[in-house]
Amino acid sequence: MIREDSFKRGKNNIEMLLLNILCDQDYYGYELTMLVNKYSNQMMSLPVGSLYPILYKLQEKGYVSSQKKLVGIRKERIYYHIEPAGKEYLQALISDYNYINKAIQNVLNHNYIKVEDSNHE
Amino acid sequence: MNKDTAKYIKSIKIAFPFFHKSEKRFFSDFVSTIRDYAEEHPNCTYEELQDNFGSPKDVVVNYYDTMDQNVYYMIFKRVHYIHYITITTIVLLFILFTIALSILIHEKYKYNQTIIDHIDTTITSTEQNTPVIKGDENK
Repeated sequence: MIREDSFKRGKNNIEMLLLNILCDQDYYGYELTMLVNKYSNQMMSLPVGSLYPILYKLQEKGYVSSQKKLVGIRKERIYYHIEPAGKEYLQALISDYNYINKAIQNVLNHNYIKVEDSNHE
Repeated sequence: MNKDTAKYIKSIKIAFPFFHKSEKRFFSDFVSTIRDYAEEHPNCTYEELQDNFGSPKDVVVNYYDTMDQNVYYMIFKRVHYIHYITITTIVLLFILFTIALSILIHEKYKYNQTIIDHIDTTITSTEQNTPVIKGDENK
């Protein structure tokens, strides 16, 4: 059964994408926005205004940790690292995403069949 | 960092309705991202930054839109509380100031009354035919 909150997926989708990218290696904020853009073949851009609140939330829940690294002489960058709990959460998000996608597809297909039938008549 | 980048960062800061701990943290990270971009694009313009990162309004709207609803609610509650405390403090200070001013005026009035009484009571007569008022001696 699909949970009601499964439809409120906007934030969860971004969480899923970020955690998935962080599985490769640790990245800092700007890199994450660039990579979302790159891996989606420039079809998706992640606003920085949305990126950081989501990273903070993931951090608070223990899915992600952050580490300051000195770059150059004075500049510091915050690198984000996925934790084991984050990997488990990512698996749950992916299976939830696949489930809801399949459910939506079923509804769309049903309507599509009805439209096709009415066209034949 | 060029002029347009500095202008863009400043406009983002101004766009926030309030600037508490959570906004400061976000702003610091946001500025770091803009600096990273500005390093790669040293001649970037204000419009270019708006196209890539959004207008100041978009940035703020995205920030609050993505925040946890509970955190969002707590922030507004805290701001409301701060406004309440500020207004109450101002009203109390005004009342205290009015009371202090009233007391001061009253004391001054009482003091003036005693001076008048003193003058009234210090009229002396040294001789029977020529009365001298002490207050007039210095004139």
